[in-house]
Amino acid sequence: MPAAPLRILVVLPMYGGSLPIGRYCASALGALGHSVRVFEAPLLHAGFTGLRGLGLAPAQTAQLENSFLQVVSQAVWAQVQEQEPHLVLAMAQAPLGRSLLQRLRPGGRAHGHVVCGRPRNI
Amino acid sequence: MAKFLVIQAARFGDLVQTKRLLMSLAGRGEVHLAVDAGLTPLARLLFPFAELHALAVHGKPEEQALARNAATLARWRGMHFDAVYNCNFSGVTAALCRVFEPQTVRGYRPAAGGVTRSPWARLAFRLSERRALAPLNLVDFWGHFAEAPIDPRSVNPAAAPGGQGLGVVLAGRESRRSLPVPVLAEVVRTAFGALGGPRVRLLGSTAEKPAARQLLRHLPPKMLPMVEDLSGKTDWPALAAAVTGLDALITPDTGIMHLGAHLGVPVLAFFLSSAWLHETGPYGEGHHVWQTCRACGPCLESAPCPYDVACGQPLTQVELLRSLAAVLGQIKSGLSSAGADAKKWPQLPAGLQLWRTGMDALGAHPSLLAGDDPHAAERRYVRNFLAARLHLSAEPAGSAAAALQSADLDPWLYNDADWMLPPGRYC
Repeated sequence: MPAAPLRILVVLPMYGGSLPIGRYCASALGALGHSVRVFEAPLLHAGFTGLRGLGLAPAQTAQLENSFLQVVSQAVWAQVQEQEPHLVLAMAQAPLGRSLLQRLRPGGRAHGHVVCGRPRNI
Repeated sequence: MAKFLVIQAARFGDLVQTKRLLMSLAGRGEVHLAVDAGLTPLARLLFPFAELHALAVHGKPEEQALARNAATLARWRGMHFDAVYNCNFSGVTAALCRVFEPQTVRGYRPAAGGVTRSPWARLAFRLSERRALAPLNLVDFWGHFAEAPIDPRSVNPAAAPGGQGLGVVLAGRESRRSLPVPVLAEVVRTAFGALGGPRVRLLGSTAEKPAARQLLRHLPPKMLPMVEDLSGKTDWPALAAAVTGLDALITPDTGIMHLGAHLGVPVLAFFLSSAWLHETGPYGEGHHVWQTCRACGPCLESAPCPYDVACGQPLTQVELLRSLAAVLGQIKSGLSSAGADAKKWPQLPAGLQLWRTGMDALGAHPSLLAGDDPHAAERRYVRNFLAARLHLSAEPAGSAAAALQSADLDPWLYNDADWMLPPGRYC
């Protein structure tokens, strides 16, 4: 048990290779005695991919996907407000938009941003 | 051996500008190139290593043309390509790509109801929203469709005079981007004098024949015996032969300009209106471009100009001719790139810049020789961003560009979805 257990929010990506890594991290941090919550972005994956099944033109689909990602980002913010974590651990491709990252920064709420992906492909 | 197909359905200049991609792939396997049927003789000259596939993409879709495409598609079905590079954001080429597995297609893929773009292509589209700041040459855009393309310096030979006189491209396909004939006549007359009275070849298609006649009327009579009007008289091989070995090529932003750069002919280009050196400038070391730079440019050729093409005004000033003579003097003397950067160049009128083309790790990287560039710092910032994205080093860390306040540029360059979704996603 750590001397000062932290409240940690682990933000998972909706899908991809970082998803199991995020779960390992959450499990390991919990085992270290920290209070861990997980933002379960995969729950929203079906809605996200469903947009592509609507048969809309690619440009419209991309616009809707961006809007959807903003909604997911807002959901992360809601969870941050509820838990008030000491640390937000975001895996590569975690749904954290620019505005959420900016909101996390100035309030003194620490957060880490773990990037596991290959930046050249973003 | 790996087998690649490149589909380039655009026109003359675009075909030449696909060279870095094609050469990169040629080092890794067998290259097939699909182009409009009218360009196959040119493609054969430019890229003799490629197996050509003739498409019918320009003009009316007549029965014969559709049959040609059907035959090409049938042939493609029987071939296995490791990758297909579709260079055009076009419904037609996307439709052609439907015969391939979607994940095989790079650049632009067919999708229900339209075309999806690779992350790289999407980024380039974003850059085109602020063209004055965009620092990516089209050759490098297509070149980076391939992983780790060849060194940009090995694409085209450095510009060097070849002893065959002066070439003059009369006009481009977009008339607004071309010098008016009286202005062109002054430029040609000055170049003729600076080069010591060489042979002059007028180049262009049949559409430029009237411009050629008009130009001849504007030139001093003593020049005329040295001038050969080749407008409308050259097929692709004859055009390539006419450009090969020239001492200099005077041109707007045209396919012939790119052909000249391909052959290492020193290009003297005049870019105005929608033509933008940083996007479609001559590729290679040692070409020169006079770029107009009004606040409204670079504009959209398809939109009417509310300023009566005022950007062309600085090109009518005598300072341009002094600048041209100075550049021709340095071409004749073989002044190096470093020497050109250090030299004091004649002053230019407001709204005009003189650039010398060069290269860095990312690709085309011109240097400003004369005139003011109000967007230099921002363009460097964007270029460093592109280089970092491609894991290249454009310039040393901690430079002025890195220190630039980027609050305005970052939201444009970085899109939320780019890091919130797995890489390599087409949309």
